[in-house]
Amino acid sequence: MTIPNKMSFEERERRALEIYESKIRPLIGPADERKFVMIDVLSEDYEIGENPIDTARTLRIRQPEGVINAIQGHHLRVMKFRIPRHTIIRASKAQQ
Amino acid sequence: MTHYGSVNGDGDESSIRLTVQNGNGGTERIAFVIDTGATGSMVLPQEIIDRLNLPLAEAEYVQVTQADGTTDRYSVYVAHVLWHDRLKEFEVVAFGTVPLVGMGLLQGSNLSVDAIPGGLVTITELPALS
Repeated sequence: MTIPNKMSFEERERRALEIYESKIRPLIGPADERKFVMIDVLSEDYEIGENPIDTARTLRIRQPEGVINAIQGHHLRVMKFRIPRHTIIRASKAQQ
Repeated sequence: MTHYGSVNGDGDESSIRLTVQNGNGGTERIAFVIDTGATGSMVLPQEIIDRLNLPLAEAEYVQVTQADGTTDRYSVYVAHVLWHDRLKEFEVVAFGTVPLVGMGLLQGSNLSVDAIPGGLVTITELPALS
């Protein structure tokens, strides 16, 4: 794939949000808000599902050259690692 | 099905060993620290992901916000893991130096920790919600 390498992360995310807001968000009811919305930002094709691996895989079958970004809860998908564990542990051990 | 793990000697980290399938059809037992502050399923250092030869996920990166509010992007891979007697697929984020399992992996399970040095950790599958 050559196109993904030419597109910055910021551009991919901007396009994904734009497609989501214009085409998909009106279709997402309260029951679907936690589902994963996988969007190919090139074709604007998308897939909605509960499992991020399977949902992106289904979209990939239709869009083998697609550039896939994930939306969840009306925003770009974000994971949270609440503790910067490695930094904290190393700092505290060093001080002992 | 119950997974058994243990608390470390300092009494401040709990971990379990899980069987992870590598990209060559073999398996490897890996010790994961249990991190209930992480929303993802699994975290592995990049060098372990490379050693296991895991494939990238189709949505190949994700934004991760850490406790200090900083957000960065990390690669996402797919691993088959023996979990509650079944081989299940989980997303694996390439991050840091310590293998972690987060709340994503624990969905549908009961986690019990005897929070003392060497304490027992059990993760038991809950009945499926109807």
